Amino acid sequence: MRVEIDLPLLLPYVEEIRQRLLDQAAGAEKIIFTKSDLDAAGIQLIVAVRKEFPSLKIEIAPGQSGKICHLLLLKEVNSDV
Amino acid sequence: MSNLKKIFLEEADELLTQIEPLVLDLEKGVSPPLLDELFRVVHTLKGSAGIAGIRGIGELTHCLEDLLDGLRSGETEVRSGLVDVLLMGFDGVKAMVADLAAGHDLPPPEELIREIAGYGRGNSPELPAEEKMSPSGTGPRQPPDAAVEKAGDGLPEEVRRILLDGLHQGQNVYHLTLDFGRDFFRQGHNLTYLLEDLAGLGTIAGFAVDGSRVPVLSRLNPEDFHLVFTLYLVTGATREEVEEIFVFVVSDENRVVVKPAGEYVLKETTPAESPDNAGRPPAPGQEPPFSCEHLPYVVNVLRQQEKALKLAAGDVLPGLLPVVRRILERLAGRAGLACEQYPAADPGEEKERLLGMAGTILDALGAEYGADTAGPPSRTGTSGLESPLAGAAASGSIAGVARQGSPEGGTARERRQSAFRVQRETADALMNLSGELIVAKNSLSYLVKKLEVRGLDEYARELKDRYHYIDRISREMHNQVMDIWLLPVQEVFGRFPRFVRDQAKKLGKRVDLVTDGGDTRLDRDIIEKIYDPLLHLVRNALDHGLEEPEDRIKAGKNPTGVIRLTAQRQGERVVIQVSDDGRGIDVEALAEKAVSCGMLSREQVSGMTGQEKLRLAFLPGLSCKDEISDLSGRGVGMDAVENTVKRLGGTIQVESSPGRGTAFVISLPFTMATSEVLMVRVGQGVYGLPLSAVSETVRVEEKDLRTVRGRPVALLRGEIIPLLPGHLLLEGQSSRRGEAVLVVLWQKAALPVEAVLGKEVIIVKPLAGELKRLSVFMGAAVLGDGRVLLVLDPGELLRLAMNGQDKGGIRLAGGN
Amino acid sequence: MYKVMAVDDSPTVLASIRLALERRGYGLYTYHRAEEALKQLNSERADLVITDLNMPGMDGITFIKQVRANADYRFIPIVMLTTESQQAKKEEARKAGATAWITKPFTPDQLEMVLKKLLR
Repeated sequence: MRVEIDLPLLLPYVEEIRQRLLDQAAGAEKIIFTKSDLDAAGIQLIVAVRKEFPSLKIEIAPGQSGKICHLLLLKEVNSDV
Repeated sequence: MSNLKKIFLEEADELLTQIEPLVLDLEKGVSPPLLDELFRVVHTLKGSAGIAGIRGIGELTHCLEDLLDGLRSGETEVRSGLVDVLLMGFDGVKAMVADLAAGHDLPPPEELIREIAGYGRGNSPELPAEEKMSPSGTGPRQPPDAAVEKAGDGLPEEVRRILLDGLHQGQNVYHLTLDFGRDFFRQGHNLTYLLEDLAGLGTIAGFAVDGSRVPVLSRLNPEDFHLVFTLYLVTGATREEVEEIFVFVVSDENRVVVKPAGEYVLKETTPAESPDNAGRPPAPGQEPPFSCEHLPYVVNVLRQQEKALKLAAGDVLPGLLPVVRRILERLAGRAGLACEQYPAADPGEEKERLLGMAGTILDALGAEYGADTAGPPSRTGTSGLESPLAGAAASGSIAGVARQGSPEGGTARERRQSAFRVQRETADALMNLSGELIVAKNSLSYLVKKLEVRGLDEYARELKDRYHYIDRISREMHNQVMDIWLLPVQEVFGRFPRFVRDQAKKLGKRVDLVTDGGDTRLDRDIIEKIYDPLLHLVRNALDHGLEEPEDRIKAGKNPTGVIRLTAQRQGERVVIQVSDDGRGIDVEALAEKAVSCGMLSREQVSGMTGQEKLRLAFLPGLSCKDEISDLSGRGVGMDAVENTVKRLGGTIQVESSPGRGTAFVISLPFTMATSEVLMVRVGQGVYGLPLSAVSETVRVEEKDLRTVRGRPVALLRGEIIPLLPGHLLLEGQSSRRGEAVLVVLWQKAALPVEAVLGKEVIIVKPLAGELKRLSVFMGAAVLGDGRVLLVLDPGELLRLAMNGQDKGGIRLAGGN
Repeated sequence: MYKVMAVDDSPTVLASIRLALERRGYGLYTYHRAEEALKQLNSERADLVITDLNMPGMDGITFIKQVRANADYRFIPIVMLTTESQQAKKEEARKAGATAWITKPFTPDQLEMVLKKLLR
């Protein structure tokens, strides 16, 4: 089963994303974040998801090019997947 | 001029005054702690210049810093002429600071840079100057490859490549650790912006996230912050510029560590010791003993723990004690100290035990490594245990720069951390306001009396209660304000080592200048004005007091003469002494001169004691006769010195013994801003006497009041003390009863009074108009009830009294 | 367009803030008293708040706490205006949730530098 989350992985949304994941991620194989935005709170959320559901695959939509920090963060997240 | 520049100018002045004595100390011997301290101050200066955007000074200080760093590392050998090069360099900085104050940020003189670089290069010709002087930040400290190769352990090849390339291109490589507190988001910070700013400075490489502190999703509050980021930054920017990005972030909870990569790598071999690891639990039994470079950090941690404990009041936070204990036990273990105590059950007792422990470790470390361990490391701002205030100071921000203390001594240095600068005008205003507050407060007690007189006892009591409360607060405030107002005498003393060095060189004399008591605190106004008189005395000692080296050897003395500058607080006064171990003053020649100038008759002189003849040195007329200075070595402008000292409410005395030396003793009130006076009744009038002039008040019996050689005196504990004829100069008659009350002055004379009415803090205003001619009063003050209190000038009273007896007209500097 | 809320009892300070913000094209709401500003938090949602620490009526630190307590303002940057002598208070304000500070007196340039770190 795949779960799609259409909220950006940004601080104002992380609590809502967390609620959704807790509701839907159990038993899922893959989570797809369809928005490319990502900040430190988003990374932290991903780390917590991995700790809670170690076998879950996580995919984040590719970011806008040029946003250096986004790339940094994204690379960091993906390298650990 | 921009605010930042103004601030920099002030800071630069302060740092330069710290630098000079350190450089001069190098002349006595080059030691690692001294070099470290000097390096630290120069590094701060450079950093501040960078932050203020002042390129010229930045460049020159960078060059000096490089030289010092070479000396520190041993790369540059210490050779003769080092002190001269450094002095020349810092003189250059001074000149550039002056230029900057006039609005010019000029590049440093090229020859100067060449000279400094030349010294550093002198014995390491394999390093071309261009490389050593690389203008980008810290410059390569070791061959670049070695640094990164070590760093490379565990780094991906591509990251290693980027770092290496950066170093080869003369860039700086820093390793950053961003370890923020839980509230990071709720403080309005944005990590993305910070990363963008970093990326704006150069290239980010090896970016990594440590998520080990993040809880599982179900237990996560996603608005708490748990991540630790590490990354390398390849940049042309200096460490200060990198740190500037985090200026608003760094605090107790939000820690940012920026380290040059080379240094970082060295530290990585002993991970438990690097500051950013200190907060984490170590593997037991694996911690190596302290090495020198970590000591300042350790001492800092200890001080922090001590402070935390002391701040934790009666009901100690239960969580704090075990934490402190853990930290202390670790430190004790690494310092090689046993730590047998178990935690006490009672928190209060545990707190005491821990304080004791901290003290013991501090003592042990201090004893082992000397005073230099007491100072904070130059990079304290990133240790995370520092107070945010000090953190701000380290990054060169506005507030946290303190007054200079003596280079040795932990307490002065500690004070430097927490002190911050106050504008001169602010201090003035505060002083005036707090003075007026005291006077205004005084008026309340008169109001109480009025109410009592009218039988309104209840109101009187209520007002009295309030009065006592306000009294306590205003006094406390006055003391605190006074603290701002006072400066360490070192501010003046610090200007002499250079003068003495240069002057002695010029005169071909060998001189040691010894200063003591530099931390004695004194009124800012007095500090400013006492420099000239002291300069005069020191110059005289150099010119005339000290003999030529050959003469000293002939006289069986050490060829190196000693000039001493000492200060000491004595009650309400500060005593400053300028002494030398030179030839002393020839009093007979002095007296002879006074006679030949027609200032005194031969009879007058022949009746004089040696001490009285010595005081002729202060005769105004003698100053103009230059022969006298050749004969006696004294006399030039001494009356000017005395006048300045007197204007400051002080006295000056001279002691001299032939062949052994001369000492001038200046006694000053420690402040002139407000005075505490003793209110006394003389005849029908009430007068004030500066408390700083009073040594005691005593009651004596009539049989102890006598007349000796026509002068009234009192016998006090076997000592004969002249009585001042207060009743002659002031209104009323002194009534002689069975006993008398005497106010004994420091100058060993006493004023008989009817009664002592108590103390009061007042602001003395000079008398105006006709009253000015009544020299016996130093001024007047308005009391709380509106009455005017005349304040007596004890020195003048004494002078008038002595003149009454002896028409010789010699103005005595101080009685004896 | 970013919107900034500025609170200071001094019209001069507010004027110099306006100068700096208009250059950047930010919208600005100014208030002389913290109480008024609090009332407008929800109707004029700001992206950044600037506040003096010493004000008659509600002081800056209480104000900062109140702003942070509003759900919409949990993460926005709050800049406090301090003076040289307010180090202790500055720390208190940081604990209350202030993000950054600028020391009075300041020039529009200096304020702009601070804002550049916080909004983009």
